[in-house]
Amino acid sequence: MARVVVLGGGVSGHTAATFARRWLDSSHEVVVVTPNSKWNWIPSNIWVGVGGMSKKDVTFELAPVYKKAGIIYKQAKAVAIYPEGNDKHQKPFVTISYTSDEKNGEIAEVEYDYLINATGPKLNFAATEGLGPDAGNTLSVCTADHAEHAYSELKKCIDKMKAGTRQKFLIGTGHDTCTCQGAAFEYIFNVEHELNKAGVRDKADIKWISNESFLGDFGMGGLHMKVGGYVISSRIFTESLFAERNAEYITGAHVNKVEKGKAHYELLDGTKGEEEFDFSMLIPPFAGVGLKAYDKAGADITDKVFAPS
Amino acid sequence: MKVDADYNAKPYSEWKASDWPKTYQNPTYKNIFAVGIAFAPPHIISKPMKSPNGYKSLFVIKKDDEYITFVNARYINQSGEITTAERSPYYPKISADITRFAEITAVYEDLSGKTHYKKTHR
Repeated sequence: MARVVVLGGGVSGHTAATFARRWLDSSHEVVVVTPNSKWNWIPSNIWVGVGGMSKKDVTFELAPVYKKAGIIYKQAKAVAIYPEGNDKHQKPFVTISYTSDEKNGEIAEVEYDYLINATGPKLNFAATEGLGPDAGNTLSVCTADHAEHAYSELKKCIDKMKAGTRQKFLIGTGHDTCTCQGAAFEYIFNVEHELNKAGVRDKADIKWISNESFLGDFGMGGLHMKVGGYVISSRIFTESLFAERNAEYITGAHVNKVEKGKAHYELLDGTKGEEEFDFSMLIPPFAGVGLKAYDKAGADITDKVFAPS
Repeated sequence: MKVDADYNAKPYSEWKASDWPKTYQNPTYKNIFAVGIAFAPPHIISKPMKSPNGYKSLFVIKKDDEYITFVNARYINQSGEITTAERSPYYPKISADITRFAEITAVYEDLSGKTHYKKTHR
């Protein structure tokens, strides 16, 4: 009998766990350790952020699904990995801290034969001063809750525009190390679409701010698309879209500080600037979740097991 | 988490698709795998760009007998807080309680432009 422990119940962890369960016979155990009670299809949070979908549409309870599948589910977050075991455990194990209401904060040790680490990113809003919904200056669509909050703020702006007040929208990336430009790109045009639908597009100034060195880079040096027999570069596609939808853009920008209604940035050519806004959704950079690792004697081997992030 | 990627720092012109992992297996502990976005990528994909202002920051530290040059060092992650009394050798009679991060990760370049990461704690 072997035990497979999966850390994280997002897209990768959930996929790994369900296939492992399907492919391994019942003499083996599959355990998922994940801090959230609900699964979230994160790409659809983009729609939650404009009211096109609700939080309920993009999440489901994990416990009944795992019960039916025969997967052992622990609502907890992984804290440390002991890949060599220690004096109490012959086998390797992970230390977990429960996050469920009943066991909140309780620590447990879970032995494994195989470990799949799929903990996903930490949303590193702290990299930029004032960034993110907790600091209160910019919005996010990175979690279903963040996206719901963004939608409620969007509605307030639409009401103001209906009453005749112009609103400035600033959407993009909140740091020069951001890697998820595509999400912000989808969001800016989802917002533009909603403003059109609400009949207030003429009251809105929409601007993109991004760390991409050119429009259409998307964090991967651009791409080419085959559409209707033509091959088009993402740069031409994206620049055309911004022109067509009357949205301005700033590229090569490192946002280094956000205050209420204002973002400060530095451009690749060294010039500095600031941009005011009434509504801003800026994607944070990502970091690791901060798991630790220890050897058999208890010495910290985090640097050996993890690359810094 | 480190997997079967090539993490050696090298200039953009030498980046290859084969730097990226194939099995997502940890090289030290073969029964650990890291899938999805949490695995540590060998490098970004787009060509790295720098603002000329970035080169204004430079400092050198001596660790044991080795000198390390930090060009354009900046925090990419930080956690915890620690407060200790600090003083300058120039004003030995004056000290102050200073609160700093307990653990930081910094990214910096060396004099040849290669990117390095350093994680450290107090």
